[in-house]
Amino acid sequence: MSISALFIFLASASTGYLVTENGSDTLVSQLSDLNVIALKQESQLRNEAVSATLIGTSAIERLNAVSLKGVSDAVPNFYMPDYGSRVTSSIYVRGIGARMDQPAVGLNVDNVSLLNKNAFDFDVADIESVEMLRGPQSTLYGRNTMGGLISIRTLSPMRWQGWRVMASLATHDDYRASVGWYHKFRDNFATSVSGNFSYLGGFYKNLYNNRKLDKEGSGGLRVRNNWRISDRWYLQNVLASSILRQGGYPYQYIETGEINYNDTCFYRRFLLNDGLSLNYRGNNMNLTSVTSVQYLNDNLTLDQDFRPLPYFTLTQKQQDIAVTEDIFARGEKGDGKYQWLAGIFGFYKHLNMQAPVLFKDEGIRSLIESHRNESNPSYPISWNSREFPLNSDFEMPVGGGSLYHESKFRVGSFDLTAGIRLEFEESRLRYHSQCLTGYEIWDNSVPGVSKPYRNVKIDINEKGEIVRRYFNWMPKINVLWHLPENYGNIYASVTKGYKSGGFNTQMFSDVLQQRLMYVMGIGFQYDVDKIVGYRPEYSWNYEIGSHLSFIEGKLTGDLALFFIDCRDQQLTVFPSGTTTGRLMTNAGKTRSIGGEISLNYIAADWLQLNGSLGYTDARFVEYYNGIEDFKNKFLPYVPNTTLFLQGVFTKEFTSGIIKNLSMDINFRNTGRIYWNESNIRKQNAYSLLGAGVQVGFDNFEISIWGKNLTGTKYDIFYFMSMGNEFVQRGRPWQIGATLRFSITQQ
Amino acid sequence: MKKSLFFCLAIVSLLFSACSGSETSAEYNYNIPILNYVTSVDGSGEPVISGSYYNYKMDMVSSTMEVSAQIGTGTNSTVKFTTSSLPFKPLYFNLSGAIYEIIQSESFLAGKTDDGDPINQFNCELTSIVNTPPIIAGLPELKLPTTKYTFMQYYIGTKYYVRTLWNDLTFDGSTSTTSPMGSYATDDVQYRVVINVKENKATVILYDCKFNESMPSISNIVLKDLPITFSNYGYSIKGTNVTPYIYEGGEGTPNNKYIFNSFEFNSNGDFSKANCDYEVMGGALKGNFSGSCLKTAKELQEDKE
Repeated sequence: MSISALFIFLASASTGYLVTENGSDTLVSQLSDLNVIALKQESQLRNEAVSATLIGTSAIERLNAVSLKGVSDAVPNFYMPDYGSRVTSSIYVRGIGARMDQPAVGLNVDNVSLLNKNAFDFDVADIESVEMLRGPQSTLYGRNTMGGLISIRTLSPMRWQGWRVMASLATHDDYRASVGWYHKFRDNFATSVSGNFSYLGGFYKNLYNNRKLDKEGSGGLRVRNNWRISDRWYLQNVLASSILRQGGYPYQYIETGEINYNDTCFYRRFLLNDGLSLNYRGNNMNLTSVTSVQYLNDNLTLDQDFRPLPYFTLTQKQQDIAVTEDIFARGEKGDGKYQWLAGIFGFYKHLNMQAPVLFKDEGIRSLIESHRNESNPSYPISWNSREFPLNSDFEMPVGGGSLYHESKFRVGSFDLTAGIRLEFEESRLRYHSQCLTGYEIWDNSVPGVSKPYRNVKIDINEKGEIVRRYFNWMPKINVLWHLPENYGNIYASVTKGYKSGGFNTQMFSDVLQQRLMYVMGIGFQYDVDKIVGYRPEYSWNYEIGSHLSFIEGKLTGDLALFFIDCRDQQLTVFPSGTTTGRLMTNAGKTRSIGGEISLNYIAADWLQLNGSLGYTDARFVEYYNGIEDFKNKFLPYVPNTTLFLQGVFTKEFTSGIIKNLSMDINFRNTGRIYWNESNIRKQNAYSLLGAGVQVGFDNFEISIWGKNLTGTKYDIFYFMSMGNEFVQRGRPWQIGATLRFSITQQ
Repeated sequence: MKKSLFFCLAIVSLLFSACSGSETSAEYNYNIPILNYVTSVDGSGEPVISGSYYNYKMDMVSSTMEVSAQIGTGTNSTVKFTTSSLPFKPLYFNLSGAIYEIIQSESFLAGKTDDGDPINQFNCELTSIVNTPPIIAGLPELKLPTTKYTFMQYYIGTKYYVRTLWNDLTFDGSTSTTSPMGSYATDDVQYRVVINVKENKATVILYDCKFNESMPSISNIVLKDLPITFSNYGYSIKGTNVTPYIYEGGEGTPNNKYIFNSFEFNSNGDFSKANCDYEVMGGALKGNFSGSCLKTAKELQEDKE
């Protein structure tokens, strides 16, 4: 089951409750499974001054999502589009987001905080719950949680034992399967082994070879061990691995309306993560250690021009290993009137990357020879070969540490919370750029005569290192008022968020290309230090909100209004001219204003209604890129509204082989999205309709479902490359069927 | 992108690299080779350009220095002098996030020559805020003095007016051009002048040239061996129908597209500033450049204010 399904099920689950398989939701049971979110915060997030969305198991299983992306519509102001490849896991929350490099939203999976955004999009079997916290979580969770935090918890063998099997098939040759074995060897020791497989035949064809280009195959394995060593000691280890083979991007050239490119495109990835959590429960204090090791090995190869001409291809290979250690203690005094949390976190991440660009015939002709020959037509050039590589190798070690603390005071019906995190980080970029090639200069100065003038050898071999160090402090303060009669609460909070700076490695191909042309006497030199690095991003989040509950919990609602003041916001821009790299730059200032509302109503035993609406007005306050002033323009790639409506009809049967029948209808609307800073290109708001029928039997259930049933056509991405405009079409309609089978061990 | 390249990194202390064998921890010696541009005060005769070393003996405790040199003033005639102890002051300027130093000394009467002529209206700046050009294979290598460039003017009695001149100066400035494609202006250009004193010729190199918005930037345009004339008011480099060279891969390639139908490059009296006018491509393109090779302390202080 893919992670993305979690968000769709938000609407069908009570938005405020953490629903577990056995319905129990005590602090004890949370601790026994070492959910780091629960250990750092209240187990009931609706009692916290935070906008949070929770999805439980049954809600997760009701809808079948085909991928992680494009399924965020049910969470207000949370947008995760499918940009064509699992390497690009872009998440936007309240206007804060990132398409490349550092993530803006953190992702924890079974306590493992994933550091590399390339690893965010993967399938996981048997997800038990997902918690989505919106707004900066930097105080407790550190760097790159400026937009929020997603925490995924898989089913624990301590909670449930038996076999679980899932098989799904859908149109466009979409097949999925998963198997999970959950076993308790002793009362205090349990193990689970689960695996998943998926295959997608593809939605779009490449006109060049008439083949589906967005094919995909993936598989994963997860081994989880839970050991209650004693009444005080608890240990959990989760080892997860996955492998992915994916085809190319379905980018359509606007001018022709075609997806048509000649060079190979693929993405291959191997992930291996291990997370070890150890908890000690003292008399008035809990001490927890979470250690993780993460390894990623991937290869992204692209036809960089996305045209049916041999311009150039880009390859990006990464080998990334990271270790993290988070040690924190939590305690309380005075019967819970004072609660505290303090911790220390450290990490080291080492990335090796090889990113060669292969220039091909048309690229050489149009991007190099033509410019050179235009400047000196009497002495034109011809390249020695019709293909040559620009090689760029990188090494990027980054490490850091932080201290954090939070105190909460209960005064009457008020909770007053203050926290701070101090963080230091050093990141380095060691680069090595090479190019060995050459060309012939011809003497055409005499009309009608052409003779060789000189052969020029180009030998570029440059190394360098750039270092960046950041020190940050991330405070937060909030006050929460518990309403009488258990109606819920109202809160106000002020939080600082932080997103790390980094390096524009994708720009190095342009740096090297310009360097090559500079050697030829044309072009200009980039200032590597300025163009390659981008600064951290900071935000102040001001929020008021409420978690409400009426009619004995049958009607629950979450409301929030926010204002985000962002400095040095990181934006992905596409440099002008015949360049292809994506450049991360810092805008001067941006601000985001908006609100969210989520409602869940159990109208009757057989009818549940859910809805969520988010509105974001995110604009530049100051941003002048040297050519154009974008003040008051809307931030690109951010939808101004998100809307999700769902009705779930359920019927239980006390006799017969059918035990239950449910039907859900869901409606999603994504608001207007501007594609560029100048707000000239946009995607208007669009709506998608989905539905599903689920029939449950004793040990298995069958569901039939459909997505985008009205066949809405929309664009999910836009960009420019070498002056050409491209869009990526959203997925067409799809229907499928899923079988779930489980045997509970007695 | 504006480029201002200075040939020293930030210097905060007064520690110079040149030293003699006899110095205390508070004394430093500096030897700087430079050309002297010597003209008669009464305007008679031709200017004389001679090379010499200037020695600066600096006492950091008393903030004074003695300057000595032997300069040629004509055929078989030289003037030798050591100034008296001249007060100096170090000035620091924050440019592009780095600190740069100028040692400034001004004296109405700085001492006497060995022949007894007074050295007066002595202005001296030891500075690192001098432009340096990009490095392009095949173009003349920039030979820098030890650590600082000396920018001096002084009179020797009522006979001579002496100005220091470096034979390789790079001017940072702005260019404006007009062509059939419209007007265009940029301040991302540098003009470098390499003077061959013996042959009275100069090579002018234009870096990062762009004459209109749609034109790709040309990393270098080299106008070789143009005649140079000197006067009391500076020097002038002129040429007509000059075929430029563009250096690629370490060697120059002639370029008939950008023939300079007329070219005139004039410096000011102390050689710190220059103007240039030219016509290219049969006069269809007209350009003007103005810039400076260094910033004096006075100019930097005015910029601050």
